[in-house]
Amino acid sequence: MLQNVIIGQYYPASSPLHRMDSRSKLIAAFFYLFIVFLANNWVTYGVLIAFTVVTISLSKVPFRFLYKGLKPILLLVVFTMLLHIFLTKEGDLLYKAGFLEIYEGGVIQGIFIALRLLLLVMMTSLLTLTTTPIDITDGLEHLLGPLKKWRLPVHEFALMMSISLRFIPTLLQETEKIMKAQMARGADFTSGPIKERAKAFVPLLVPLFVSSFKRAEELALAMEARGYRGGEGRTRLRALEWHQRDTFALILLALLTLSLFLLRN
Amino acid sequence: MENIITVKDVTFSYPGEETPTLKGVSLDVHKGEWLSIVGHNGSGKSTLAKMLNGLLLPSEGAVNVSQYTTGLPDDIWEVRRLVGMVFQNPDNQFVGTSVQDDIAFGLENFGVPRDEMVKRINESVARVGMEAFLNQEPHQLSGGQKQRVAIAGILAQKPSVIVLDEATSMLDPIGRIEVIDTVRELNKKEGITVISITHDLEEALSADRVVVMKMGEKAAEGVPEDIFQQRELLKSAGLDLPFSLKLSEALRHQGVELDKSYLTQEELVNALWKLA
Repeated sequence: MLQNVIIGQYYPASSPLHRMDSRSKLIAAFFYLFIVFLANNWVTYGVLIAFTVVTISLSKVPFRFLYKGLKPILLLVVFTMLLHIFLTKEGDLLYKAGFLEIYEGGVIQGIFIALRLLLLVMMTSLLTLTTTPIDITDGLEHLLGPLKKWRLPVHEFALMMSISLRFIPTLLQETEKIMKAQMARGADFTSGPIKERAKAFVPLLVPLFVSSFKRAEELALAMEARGYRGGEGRTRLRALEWHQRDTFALILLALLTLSLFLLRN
Repeated sequence: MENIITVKDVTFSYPGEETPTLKGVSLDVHKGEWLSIVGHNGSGKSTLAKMLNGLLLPSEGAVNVSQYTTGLPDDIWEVRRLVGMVFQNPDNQFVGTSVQDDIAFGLENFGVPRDEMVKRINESVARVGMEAFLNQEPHQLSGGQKQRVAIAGILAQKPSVIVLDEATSMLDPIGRIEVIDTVRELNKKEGITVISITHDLEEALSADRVVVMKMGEKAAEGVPEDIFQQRELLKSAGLDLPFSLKLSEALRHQGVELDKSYLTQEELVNALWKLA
């Protein structure tokens, strides 16, 4: 069952967004986090929504995959929306029942906040949906490269990420194996009160930890044997290629920002 | 014959341990040969293997790889490039997220330019017969395939020596044959020196020379035919005799007229079917 796990939520497809350099996607997503806050009226939100919808349709990612990413925060969205609707007392009074008063300003504010959250999450999931985790790691390493001057271990961080990604399926396979071994000896992971079930996981986690440490030690030795000596003087097989479309995407984003500045109140 | 590695009077103890793991071991490895180092657990054979590419440095004595010395900081990287090592657990030496990334790992460490890297990856992956798997991820590969990728990673570094540190002990019989055949071809056709560390005497049978390790010392050294005649020595080193040898001795004991004890199954079968 664990064999088919896909790491992260990458959706394989061939779209302009998939072909973009991970660096430009990272920059764009980061930038988007800020410009969402520029929108403060119907027109600017309309522009943002249009931009987001076009981007999503360009990505060829089916909506249900995006929805999966949205599901966990849906409750938060509804909650903040209701909070604003009930607590913001601006504009005309729309409805009154006992102590409950709903104002026009509150409703608008609620809708805006909900939209803002939805747009944010959709765009950031679009990044992980169209970029493999390893590409994101590579992109981050390149973008954060200048920080090496301040002795930030950027290369080590990226290597750690990629090794973790590489070992996720291996550890999942091992978990499955240990689980079966413990089940064969009468361990029960699926029934009983939560406390009992949590306890049942101890004999699963302990061997997993022990073997992970052993793996780490052996891997370090193997890396050393293959001449690993830190990031200095290292070349790279994975090459990131910045194309015209990446520059174009960032220009588009700059134009969006400009229009938001012009159209906001 | 030209030596590629010379181990001279090497003594080594792990920190905090009183009895040394290696006691005054000397060893010459000839260029292009297949040398098997056999021994029981704790005989010091794996420690000796880690000496050969400077993963461990001798407390006394020296290890030289062609003109380089493992103890010199200036030489160590060249030593590691020349002496590639395949370890026991196929999973725990796979660094990259895919076959080509893993083969690239060593090349990246040695600062090989990207164009050259791509060329060498394609070439070395073909030499181990894994060219169809270039973009596969490690969890989609069998143990034997992973070990072959590890060998390809070493080949890409243009090594002189491949050290197999119990590299087949975690594989199923098919994977074991895959790996041994791959290495044998590299040894025979390309003249790459192979040092295989093993406790499996069957595997040592195909070696040009065998070194027996016992309690941190070199107990014997010679061609397999000679070594395997020294039954008492092998027994005291905690090693199990190869099956064909045991069978031929048992047959002789039963009065079957065999000229000698045969090392390989083929030799034994050839001798047996000729019997009246």
